[in-house]
Amino acid sequence: MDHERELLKRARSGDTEAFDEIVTSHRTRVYALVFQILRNEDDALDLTQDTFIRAWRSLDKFDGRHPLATWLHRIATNAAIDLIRRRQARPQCELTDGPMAVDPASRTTPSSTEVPGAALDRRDLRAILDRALASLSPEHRAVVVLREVEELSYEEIAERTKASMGTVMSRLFYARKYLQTLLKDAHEEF
Amino acid sequence: MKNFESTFNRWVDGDLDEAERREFEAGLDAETRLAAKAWPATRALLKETARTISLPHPDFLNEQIRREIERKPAPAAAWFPLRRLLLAGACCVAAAVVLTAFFLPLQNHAETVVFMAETSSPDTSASAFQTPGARGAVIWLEGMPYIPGEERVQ
Repeated sequence: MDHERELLKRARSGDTEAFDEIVTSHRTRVYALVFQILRNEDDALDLTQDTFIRAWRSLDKFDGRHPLATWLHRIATNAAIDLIRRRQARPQCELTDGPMAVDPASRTTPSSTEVPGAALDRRDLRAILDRALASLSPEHRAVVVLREVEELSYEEIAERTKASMGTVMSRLFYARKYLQTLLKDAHEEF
Repeated sequence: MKNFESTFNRWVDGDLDEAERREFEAGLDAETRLAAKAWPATRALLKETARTISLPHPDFLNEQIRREIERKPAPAAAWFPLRRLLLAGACCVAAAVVLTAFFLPLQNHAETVVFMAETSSPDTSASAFQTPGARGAVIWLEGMPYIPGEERVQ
């Protein structure tokens, strides 16, 4: 942490070598966060680059009250949410905020051949979850990722996604129900 | 429904107290209860999945970022000219105020025209002052033994 503080100090004075080290330390997690929300490699790469460039230009605004990773993730999440809003991204599945959205008979439900009775290894489970996540709308996916992976509070999610608490709760509810429905066969293997 | 969603989320997150939990679970069907019990495993899997995502061409990303930030002014370099510009502006304003305050009275004085006049007596001198815009001129006489009555200012 002291090393990071030192790097920050040097970067603030214009040392690009120091900033390069910061990028190297955080690039994978920033990319993973953005990729999980957008599910598009090119977009995720662009936004990861954009996140670090924005961070470089705003280094004097980083007050150090929170870890640098938190600050970078905030910039990355905001950029991803802004991109979703700009594109008014359409959900890849018809997951709306209504009860019909969680349909156990959906075609995206893993079939018995995809989830065989034999014990699934972790890689298979991750692949199933990955497909389930990919079938969520970007807005629902963002809420799940921010809550479950980034461990943000509901209030923080509302602030980051520029949505009301009610919307956050609703999206989280349906996303969780939807994922549980898709993963119900695999639950027994956990 | 909104209240149910909120309570459901708090229930999944384990944020309900014992009484709230019992009351909420009483209204749930067995399948939902079972699915929610599996949520911690799903959550762990989500985190695990996030950790397996790898960045393609990581060094290329660094190179792109470096190229971009070196093309633009460094934060410190960008900050100082702005600060210097503000300071220079403030200094200019201050200098303008000081110079105006200093030169304004002189300028008024300089506008006053002084005439010298010859007199026939070597013991007498005469000066005349006129300021543009004033409605009259001042004639200053020194050394005159007396002023004729008709020339006196009434």
